[in-house]
Amino acid sequence: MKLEKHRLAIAALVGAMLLALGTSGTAGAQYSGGAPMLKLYVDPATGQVFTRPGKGRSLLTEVPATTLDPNAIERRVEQKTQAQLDANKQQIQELVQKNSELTQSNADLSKQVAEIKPAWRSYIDNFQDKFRIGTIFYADYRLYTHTGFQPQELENINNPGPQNNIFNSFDITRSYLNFYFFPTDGLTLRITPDIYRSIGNGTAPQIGTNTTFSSNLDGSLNFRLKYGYVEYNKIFDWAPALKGNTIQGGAVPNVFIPWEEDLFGFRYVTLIPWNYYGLSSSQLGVQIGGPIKFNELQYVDYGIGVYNNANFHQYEQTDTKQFMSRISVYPLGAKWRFDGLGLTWFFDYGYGNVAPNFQGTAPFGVQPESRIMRQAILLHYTAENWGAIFEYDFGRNAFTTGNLFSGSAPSTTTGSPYIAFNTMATGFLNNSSTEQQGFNLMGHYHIPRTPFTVFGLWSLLHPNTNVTSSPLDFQRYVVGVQWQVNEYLRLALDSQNINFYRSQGSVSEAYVNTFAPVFKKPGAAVVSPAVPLDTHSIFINLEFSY
Amino acid sequence: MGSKVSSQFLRMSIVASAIAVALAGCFSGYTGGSMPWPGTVMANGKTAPPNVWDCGPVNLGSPSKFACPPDGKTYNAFQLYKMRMEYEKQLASGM
Repeated sequence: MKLEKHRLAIAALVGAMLLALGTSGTAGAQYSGGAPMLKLYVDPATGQVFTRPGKGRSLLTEVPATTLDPNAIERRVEQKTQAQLDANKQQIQELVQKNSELTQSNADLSKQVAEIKPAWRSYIDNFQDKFRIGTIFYADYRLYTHTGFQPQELENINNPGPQNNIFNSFDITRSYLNFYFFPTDGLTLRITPDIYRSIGNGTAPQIGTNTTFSSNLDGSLNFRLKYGYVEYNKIFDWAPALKGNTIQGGAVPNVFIPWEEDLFGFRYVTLIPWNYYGLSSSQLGVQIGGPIKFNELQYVDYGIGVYNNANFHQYEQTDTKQFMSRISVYPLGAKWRFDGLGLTWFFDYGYGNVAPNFQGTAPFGVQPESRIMRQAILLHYTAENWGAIFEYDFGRNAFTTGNLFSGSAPSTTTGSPYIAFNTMATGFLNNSSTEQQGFNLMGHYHIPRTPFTVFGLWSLLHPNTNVTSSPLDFQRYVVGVQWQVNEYLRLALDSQNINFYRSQGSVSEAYVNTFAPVFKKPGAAVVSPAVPLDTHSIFINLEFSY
Repeated sequence: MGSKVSSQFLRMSIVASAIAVALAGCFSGYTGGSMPWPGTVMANGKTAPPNVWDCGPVNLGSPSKFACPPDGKTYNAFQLYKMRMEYEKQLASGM
């Protein structure tokens, strides 16, 4: 029974194999041709299948050998392997792609993080756009081959008088820090502190008739406010010709002195005429000004201002104010600020800086509050490489002994040989009806293809034209060469001289007293010598501006 | 009182003039560093930048401003410095 079951199973298996291989065998017979066949044998007793005939085995089937081709198998394996490799490659590419995307994403994230600036950084960046700081620094070395009484060549410098030849000194005459703030379009705030030298222990100043202030001068290098003002430059933008004109209020550079300093170009070497004669470059007040242009050419440049009678380093005491105006005309049209031919007129009218109830003392009484007038007429021509200026000055009560001797003054202490001379100068210059007249020539020439410019200044001043052949009439000569080291630094070697050109002689005290009764008992006495000594000096000047 | 001529002034003026002439003579062949003549057209077709030495000051301040040839255009010191640096870099790179 059991054997019967086996037989049936084997028969079924063989039947199935025959059925399966029979189809393929038919097909193989069709395409195999003479191809070798694999014969399979079966032992019906055991159901085992053999590839060789044997006892008790019967042929089970024939299989075409091609169906068992090892190359075909290998190809199939290769195809399978290649498919797997392709799949892996695609997977790797996908990973690379993802990695690249992650890298990009990471970079974007880093950029975003970098752009997330802290609040203080934003504040600083904003502040940077609204703020600028600069500096101007003047220094010099000077040596006087001949010393004498004279005005200051530059601010904050002094020299001893006669018989101190070969006096020399290193000086700092300007040390600005320029702070500019631009809070809104067109609006500027400028603050400029400056260093200056105070000298000696000042006497307590008399304020009015019943007040004095104590002095704190001790010879230090002090810091003070030189300029401090607000400027708005869009006030006239409604008129195209006036575009860029400004209104300024505060401690401002007045309408004339800084303008002429720029015109001459050698402020770090010496002072321009009216500045040398005593008009400061800065007062507290309000002013408007700027160019008037048509078709991009400047035909007029003007400035009008009202200021304290005091300058920037004085305390205002008056109940009046000072008026200044300047108008420059460029008949041919100027492409830039001073381009070509120009004609300029400057007018200044003010009062002495004393309190309204000032009484004064003999012999001058209320002279310190007298009217002061200054005028200048200039003819100038400027090119990129050279410039020439002729200036005619005239004024009233605009030049006193305080100006003539601002650099070095005669001593009036007991025993000084210059007491009578000083009294004479006081009588001639400090009365309330002096008239000044001056002639000036200035110019420079840049030597082509070199960093050097030669420059010069000549001035003739009659401090009081009412004095006949005044012994105080003088000429000033400055000649030198400038080395423009780079955009920020200039050096100059120059000679500065004052020539009291009248022949030495004497002046009667009686004549002096016709101007003011400064000599109590003039009689036949004379002041001699009446003409101050000439002064000669050599300067090396330095300017750094940034 | 007649006028007089100061011999000291004459001597000093002569000395100063001699110094100026000497300096000018020493540098008469100086090319202005590496900077070309104003208005020179360079190899790349651009006009050479202005040099502060060829310009005239029109505003002394911080920064100072200069009018420069050949057209009188105004530049401040920062701009002139930047242009000079860029020009010297170009020269160094052989452009």
